[in-house]
Amino acid sequence: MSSFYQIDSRIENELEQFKQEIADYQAGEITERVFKALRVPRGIYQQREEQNYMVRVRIAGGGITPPQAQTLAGLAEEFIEEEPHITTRQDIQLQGLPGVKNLPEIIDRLKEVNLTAIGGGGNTVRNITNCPFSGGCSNELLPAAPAAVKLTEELVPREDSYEMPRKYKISFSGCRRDCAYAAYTDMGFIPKNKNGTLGYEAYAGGGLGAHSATGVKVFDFIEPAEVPYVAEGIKQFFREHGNYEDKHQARLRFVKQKYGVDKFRRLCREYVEKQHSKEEMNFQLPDLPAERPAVKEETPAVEDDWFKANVRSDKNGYYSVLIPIPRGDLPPAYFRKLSALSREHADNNIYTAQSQNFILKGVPGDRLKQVKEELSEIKPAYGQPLSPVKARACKGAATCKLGLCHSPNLSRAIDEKLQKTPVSSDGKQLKLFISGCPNSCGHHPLAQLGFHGIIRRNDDRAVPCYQVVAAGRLDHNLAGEIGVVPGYEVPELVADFLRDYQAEDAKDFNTYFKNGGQDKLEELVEEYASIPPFTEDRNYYYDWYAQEQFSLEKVGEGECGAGVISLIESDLKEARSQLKKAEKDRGDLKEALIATARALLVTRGEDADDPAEIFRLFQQHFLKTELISPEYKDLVETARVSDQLSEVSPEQVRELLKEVTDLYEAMDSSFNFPGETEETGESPAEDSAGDFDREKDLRGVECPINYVKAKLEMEQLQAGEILKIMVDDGEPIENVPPSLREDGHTILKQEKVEDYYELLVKKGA
Amino acid sequence: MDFNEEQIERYSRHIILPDVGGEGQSKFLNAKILVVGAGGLGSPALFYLAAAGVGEIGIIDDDVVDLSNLQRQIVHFTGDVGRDKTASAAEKLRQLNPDVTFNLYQERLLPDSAQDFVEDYDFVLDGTDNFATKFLVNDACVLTGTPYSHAGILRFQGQAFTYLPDNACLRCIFPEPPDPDSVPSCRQAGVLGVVAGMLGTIQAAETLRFILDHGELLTNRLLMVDAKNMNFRRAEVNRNDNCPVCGKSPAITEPREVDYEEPVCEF
Repeated sequence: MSSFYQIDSRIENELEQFKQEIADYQAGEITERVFKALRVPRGIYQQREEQNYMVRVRIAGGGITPPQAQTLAGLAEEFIEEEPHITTRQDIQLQGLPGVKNLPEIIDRLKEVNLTAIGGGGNTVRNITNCPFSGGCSNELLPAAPAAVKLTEELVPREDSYEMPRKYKISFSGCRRDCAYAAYTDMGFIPKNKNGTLGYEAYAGGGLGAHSATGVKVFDFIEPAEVPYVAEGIKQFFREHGNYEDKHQARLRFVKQKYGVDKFRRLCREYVEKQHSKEEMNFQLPDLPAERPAVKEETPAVEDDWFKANVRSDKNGYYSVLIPIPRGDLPPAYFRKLSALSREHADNNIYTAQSQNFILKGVPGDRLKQVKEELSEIKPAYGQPLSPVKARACKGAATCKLGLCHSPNLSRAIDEKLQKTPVSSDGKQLKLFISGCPNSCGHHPLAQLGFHGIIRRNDDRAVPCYQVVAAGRLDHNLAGEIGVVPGYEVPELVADFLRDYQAEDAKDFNTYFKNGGQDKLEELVEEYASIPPFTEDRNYYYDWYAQEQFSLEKVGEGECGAGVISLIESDLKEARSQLKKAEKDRGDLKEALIATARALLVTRGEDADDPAEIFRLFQQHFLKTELISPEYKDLVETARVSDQLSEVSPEQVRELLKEVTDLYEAMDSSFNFPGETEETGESPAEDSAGDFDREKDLRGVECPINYVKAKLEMEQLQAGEILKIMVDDGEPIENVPPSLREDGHTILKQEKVEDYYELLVKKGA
Repeated sequence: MDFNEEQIERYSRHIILPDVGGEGQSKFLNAKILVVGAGGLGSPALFYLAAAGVGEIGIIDDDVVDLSNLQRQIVHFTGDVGRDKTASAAEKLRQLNPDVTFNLYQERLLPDSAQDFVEDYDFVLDGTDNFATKFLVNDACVLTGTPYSHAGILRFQGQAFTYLPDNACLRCIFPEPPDPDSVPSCRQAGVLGVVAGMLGTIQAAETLRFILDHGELLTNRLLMVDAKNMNFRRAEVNRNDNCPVCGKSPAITEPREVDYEEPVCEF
């Protein structure tokens, strides 16, 4: 295989466009804010040190070919100040790129070897992951890695994969064990054999995060050819029903929460059905790889602790070898060496695993001894059994803007603490997963013993602490919370707990946990929970290996939800809140007007920081074109030339904001507005006469009874007839019109009169 | 219809629902429902039907409240032991919702009069506790073309389905009551009280959805509930051409005494 994933011309165009945008940004033609919206969906994040960027390269199928390894290592050596990093979703992150100057070259050189960071971040179809042992594992029912590659090629070039309500993560498991966490992701496929036919169970709406959830089984069985219809259909469902406004409630699992499981499943199925009528999609899975010719000497040449812990037997005397990469970070030179080692002894490629390690596949049994020796030569740890803890850690406060605690350093501290703890040879290891914050990038909900960063205050200072969770399992039981301990005590706690676990004679972790393990852990959490005053012991107030006292200064808004839509949403939200403030304080309306005028500029590829420029661009793109009605000309001109807005009333700004919001709501996925495209749709103006058929005064009636009464009035009307209602300002005006709209009626007019609103509502069909 | 202020507030959570609205609530207020048996199934069903504002509810039961009923027949309270069940139920329900008119029949549903009873109502909710009456309710409803909700419970299990004219009836699925020896009586088997609540509530939901004419009822489908493991299963059932009451050449043309005396606690 020359490479796993082929970049097609649509992606190439996208990359060319992005390079142009980088040039525009460097030339000062694009603001920081808009550049963020453009780069994040292309997989480029800003790190905590703001001059540094991170490039998240999607590794479809998890496989890295020799030329790809050369390129990744080369780029890291030439341009990057930190070590490349393997993520828990099988990507490779190039961390610590100083500035964007070299980004175009990086993009080009990645493209040469069919790699790209597109969709590495933002509200996009993220890297499609698969069982890391795919291709080697003898349990594999359907080839997981090729399926992930195939679906990547199908979904990633589509334009609408880049403006979703939130990210959309997909994964393929290879067998019933669900090693790829398909039931815990937005959309996942677990193969099954149904009466001799191979196909998949399809799950949707799962996910690990601040509100982890297991997925709903949307289809009990689909044939492989159905996969793209299901993935794209549910993507469209998500696009149409997802919450674009609140990114904390936006993932597919919140749509599930909103509708309930039954309706969610039904709608998913409807969209899949719809997808069939929209287009023909091809999805030919290759056969499982033909069995390699059997090796003569089937017995491996080594059978030591390393073999027991790191080597898996595949078929016909071949083996998969796990290379433990501490915290997923490795120097570029080692990257090259591991790739060379695979050419020599394995199937040519190196594979990323969700455990942030590498895997070699197709190693003949008689080479194992040599492989172990060569791995140890590169770095002793690579040829050692995995430490008694199978650790995973996201980047946490090391680079992530959301990170509270430095999870990789905690992982290192645990490693150092445990160096003296012997590895139990019967394979009693502890799955220990650490996330730097409550989001679950470090997979802590699936941990046997897990931690996520959390802040406690003591002695008037912030203390880096961790929430302890335990007994997460791959059968829909996520790890439960035990209690909070200071980060400083975590290595001690882990060591004590591990000692107890290894000493107990239980057949597996769950048995141990049920029979005393949980009590032990609760006891330990209580023992280690206290935080001494600063004057007594300062260690508690420093994160692991930190030179400076712990603080939250660098924690910022996360970047991963950035995109054009969220930019517009945040401006409109800003405008609403500024307007409210201005109404209350009789204060300045300028901020509200600025945000209102700026909101849609990004759809025209424009943005500005200077208010006068913002208003000028608004005039040019929206008033001259009459996308916004000319009656606001004077208002905008006044705002452009003067800071004196005493003549402007909040009502005028509210109406303009309403018109901008309506225009935005009518926008299609290519950022075109009605009137710009062929179909113009019904003009709202023609109905807005002052006539009405019924009238109801709902002033003084509270929510939701005002809506109840409005609804009862509407029921008395025929379709097309008009009801006039009066509702109070505040909660009523915010709630009644949207509810009536949801019922299918049209708000023809909404006008503020003194301290209440008059509305004309046309009954829908 | 016009709602008064109190009704608007009382039923606001119905009116808000897109599938109910003022129209649906009016349908509730104009509906006439017969509940056969004010026991384990009837208690929760009556509560919800009354709360929903079903305009006219008939309750037929010939029994008096027994202390052993109270573990599941939640419309009756400890002080009601010895009282007529119909009166005991109506007292609570009137307090819950004065909008509802109650017709109380402190008597047993008998073959002679069964058709007259069910014919008077839009829909019948069968909350009886014995095979004889269950088959009698079925026959009377089929012969008069009255839709009804069937349910039965035993131990941790329950079943329910809904009859609509020209669809499967109880005898399509079970032509005759089972052999008395093959079914443990309630005294032998017992029943988890809450299972009565679950099934009675399902029956109330079927009734309200019938009134609304909304969604798919449990018609031609038998819902089986196992509260021990909380399994819900639905089996497709079909109309049977050889059904003794609704088949091609029915043997039963008028309700008759079902030859089945052993009382079994709610199926």
